[in-house]
Amino acid sequence: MLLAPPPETTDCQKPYYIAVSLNCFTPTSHITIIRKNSWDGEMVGDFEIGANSRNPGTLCLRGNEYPISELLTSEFKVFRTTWEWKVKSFGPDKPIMIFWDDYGGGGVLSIWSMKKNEDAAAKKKPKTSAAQIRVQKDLTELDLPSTMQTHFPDPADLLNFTLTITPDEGMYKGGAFVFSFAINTNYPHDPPKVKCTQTIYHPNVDLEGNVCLNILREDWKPVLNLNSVMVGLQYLFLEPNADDPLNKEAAIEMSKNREQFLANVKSSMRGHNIKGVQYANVLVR
Amino acid sequence: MSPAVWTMDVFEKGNFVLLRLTLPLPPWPPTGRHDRYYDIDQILNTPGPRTDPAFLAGDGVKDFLRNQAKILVIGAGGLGCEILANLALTGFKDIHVIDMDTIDISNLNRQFLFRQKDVGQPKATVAAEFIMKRVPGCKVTPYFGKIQDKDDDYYMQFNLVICGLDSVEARRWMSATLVNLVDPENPESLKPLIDGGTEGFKGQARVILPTITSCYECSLDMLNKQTVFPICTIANTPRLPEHCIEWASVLEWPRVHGDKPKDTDDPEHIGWLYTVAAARAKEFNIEGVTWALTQGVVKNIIPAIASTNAIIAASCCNEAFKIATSSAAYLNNYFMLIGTDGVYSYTFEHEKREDCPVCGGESLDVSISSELTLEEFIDLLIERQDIQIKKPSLSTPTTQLYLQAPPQLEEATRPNLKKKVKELVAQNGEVTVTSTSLPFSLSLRLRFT
Repeated sequence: MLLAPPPETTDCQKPYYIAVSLNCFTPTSHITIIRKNSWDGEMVGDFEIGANSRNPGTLCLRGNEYPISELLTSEFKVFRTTWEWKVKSFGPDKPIMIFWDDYGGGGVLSIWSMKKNEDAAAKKKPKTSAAQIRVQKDLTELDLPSTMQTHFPDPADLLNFTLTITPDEGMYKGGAFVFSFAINTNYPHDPPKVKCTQTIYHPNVDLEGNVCLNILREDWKPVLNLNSVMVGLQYLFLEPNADDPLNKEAAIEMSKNREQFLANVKSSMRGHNIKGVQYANVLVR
Repeated sequence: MSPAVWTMDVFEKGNFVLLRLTLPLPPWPPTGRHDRYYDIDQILNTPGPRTDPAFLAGDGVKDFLRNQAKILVIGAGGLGCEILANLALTGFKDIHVIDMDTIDISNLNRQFLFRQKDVGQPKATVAAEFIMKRVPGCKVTPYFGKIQDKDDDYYMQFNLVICGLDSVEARRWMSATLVNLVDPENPESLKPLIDGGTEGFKGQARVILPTITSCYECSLDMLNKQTVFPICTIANTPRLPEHCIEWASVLEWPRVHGDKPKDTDDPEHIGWLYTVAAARAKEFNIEGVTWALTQGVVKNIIPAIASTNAIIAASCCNEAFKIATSSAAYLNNYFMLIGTDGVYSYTFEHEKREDCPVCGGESLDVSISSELTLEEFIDLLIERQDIQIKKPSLSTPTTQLYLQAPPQLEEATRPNLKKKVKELVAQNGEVTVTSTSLPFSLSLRLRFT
């Protein structure tokens, strides 16, 4: 292991080389030897610590052996015990501390000087939420055909927007269908809330604008994204599905009397009234 | 005989001034079997052959546990009551607890810190009082409110956080907050998070070392899916009482009440849903729509079993104790218990995800000139070899700086390109970069020179 000052330190010293080996006479005890400049450089010191902390080990500095407790004081902390030189002769306001950080696998020995924390307060910041980053990623990576367009009433608000689908084939060709998207802060754990903003005649969309699309509810997974939802919505206009109806009458018409269904679709899109329901004129102007 | 008090000698040796402290040996046996911590002290007084080398058996660790360690418990419900009791009895003496709920009569079957007279009172407050009365010397500080009310400085004061929550959203928030709290230059800022959760006979306990091991967000895709019924089933072919309740809640409520938000804690709202659901159930000859079920379905209440809570809370508290004292190796890092089909338990190391939006991705400190425009800054990012970024989109926690798409947002943010970055981002401000070429995102902290 090498012990070196943090890279940004200006007055860099040469690194220390630290080797840990077993005391072959006392196998429960380890000897740590610290050398300067290279693996066979000048020896700074060594210390021996046994597994039994009732015999607290020794620290040998320049040939003088002391019980560790004579030279270092320790303070117990979660994850790390801080050893501090009892002799604070490294400068009045900058005592050097040695930490033995024992989390995250192998030990990491690092030097901290006490000036830390100075600008810690300045560093604290509001953090972009995971939902927000995910929406930014989803939106900027949308890969939509020319038949679909997003619109943001408030461009600063990425969580609420509309999607206009203008199918270029199929029975809904010629219409422009507008869906509202509302994304909550628990996205992508929760799916986006999607509603049709117009009253339309479609087996899978009811008159309140609720949409029956599996990935919007029971089959939603966090790996899906806004692009998958949008493609799914467009597919509903190419292939309406009479088996999972939300507008039951439209679904029955579609499976029993396709001609009449097609005629109803055409006339509903022009904003006509079918069986007492006033549909929205969705024709592209 | 060892001295009864600490003694200190000071002498000089060469260039050193040496202080020699002589400590009294701990009394053995500690204070007798009647001592409150007699059993716990058996563990804390002597290291075993496999205890962590950092474990300092004896007074130091006991002092830390009992006089210094500050622990935060999130949630004072089913798990929370168990956690608070276990922590207090293992010797944590400075416990804080947050809960935003008040006590409901239906909690009393398992949340044993509450009595009938407490119904309607804040859970955190009542639980804290109960523990302090039962375990003298233990200080429990309650906060009746949301975890989101508290800022980084608040969370910074704790050594450990234990969550006993029932909501994914709160867990995500807590995990993300603790990950963001980590300042690589300050080891104190790493707050271990222990998360417990139960669902019927199933449960899990995990240890999260923010930024070091996998965080809550890393495992989001492992969550059990909530029971969600297809909307067309709810609308057309209800077969279960739950279908009728969902119909009332998902379709009828917005149809009748428009944009008025549904408050699942408001008995009037639940009453309305219950009446509507019951009428529909009658129409379809479905039995089983009750007030309790209505509340259960709309609030997504998962049956809570007191004994599962006890197992999970106990495992969480054992981990808290081990982490706080280093007296034994702690859980690495995910323990799950499945009691639905016999008893099966499995412990594994859930791995960190590189593309985790919370703890994954790079974080860079970037120094730039105060004169640099956003456009020049973006070019600078693209040129950097170490991050390999294409078509980056940038935002701060509060605004979008520049988005590559969709066209409307690109246009809306385009004027920013000509502005100086310094006008858009504060000193040490955070900028989030997303791009197709990044696993998830890149977080930058800007310094202006």
